[in-house]
Amino acid sequence: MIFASLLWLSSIANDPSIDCDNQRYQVEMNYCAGKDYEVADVALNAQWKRTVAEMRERDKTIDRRYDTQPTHYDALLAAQRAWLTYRDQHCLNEGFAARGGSMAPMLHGGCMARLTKARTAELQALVEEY
Amino acid sequence: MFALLLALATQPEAAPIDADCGGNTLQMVQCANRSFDRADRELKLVWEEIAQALSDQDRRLNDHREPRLEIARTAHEAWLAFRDAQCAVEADSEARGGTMYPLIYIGCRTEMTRARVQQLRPTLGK
Repeated sequence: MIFASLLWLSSIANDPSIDCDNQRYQVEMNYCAGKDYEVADVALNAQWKRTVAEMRERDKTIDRRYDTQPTHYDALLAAQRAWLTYRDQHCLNEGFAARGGSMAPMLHGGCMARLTKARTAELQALVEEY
Repeated sequence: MFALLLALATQPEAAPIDADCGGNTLQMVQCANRSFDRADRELKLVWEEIAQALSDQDRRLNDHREPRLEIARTAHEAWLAFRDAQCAVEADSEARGGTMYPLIYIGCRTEMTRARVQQLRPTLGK
C-alpha cells in the first residue's frame, strides 16, 4: 500500500512550481494532499519507534510466572496492523465518493493524511498518558 | 478499590470508566457491558443505513468496478478489529493483570464506538 502510494505520488514528484500554501487548481490540490500524507507518514513512523521502545520497556516488568497475556509490544503490533487495514480501506472508500473524478486523489490523500495524524496522536498518548 | 480509583483519577485522560456505574466490581462490569451494548446497537443501526445507501448507489452506477458497499464493509470490519485491539493496548497500559482491566477495556470500546457513530452519521448517504 505504501509502495503503491509512493508510486502514485512519484508520477507528480516534487514539482517546485506548486505552492501548497496557495492551491488553485485541482491537480495542485491532489498533489498537496499527497504531500501532506507523506509528511504525516514520516511523523507516524517516528512516533511508532518511540511507542515501541516504551512498550518494550514495559514488557521487561512482565512476570511470566503469573502473566500469560501477550506482551505490550505484541498487543501494540496487533492494534497497528488492524489500524493500517482500517485506514487503507476507509480512505479507499472516501476516495471512491468521487470515483473516476478529478477530486478522487485529493479525497484519498486528504483522508490518509487525516487518519495518519490522528493515529500518531494516539500512539503518542500511549506513551505520555499512562 | 478506592485506592485504585484514586490512582486512576490522577492519570490524565485515562480511558473513561462509566460514571453511571457503581457497586462492586462485578456490578460495575455488568453495567459497563450494558452501556457498550447500547452503543454497539446504535453503531449497527447507523451502519445498516450506510450499507443501504451504498447499495443503492452501486446499483445506480452499475460500472463493473468493485462495489463501494464491499469496500465500506471491509473498512468497517477492519475498524471493529482495530477498536478491540486498541482497547486491549489501552487497558494493558492502565491495568494489566488488575481487577480494573475489564472495566477499562469495556469502557474504551464503548467510547470508541460512540465516537465512531458520531463520525459515521454525517456521511449517511454520501
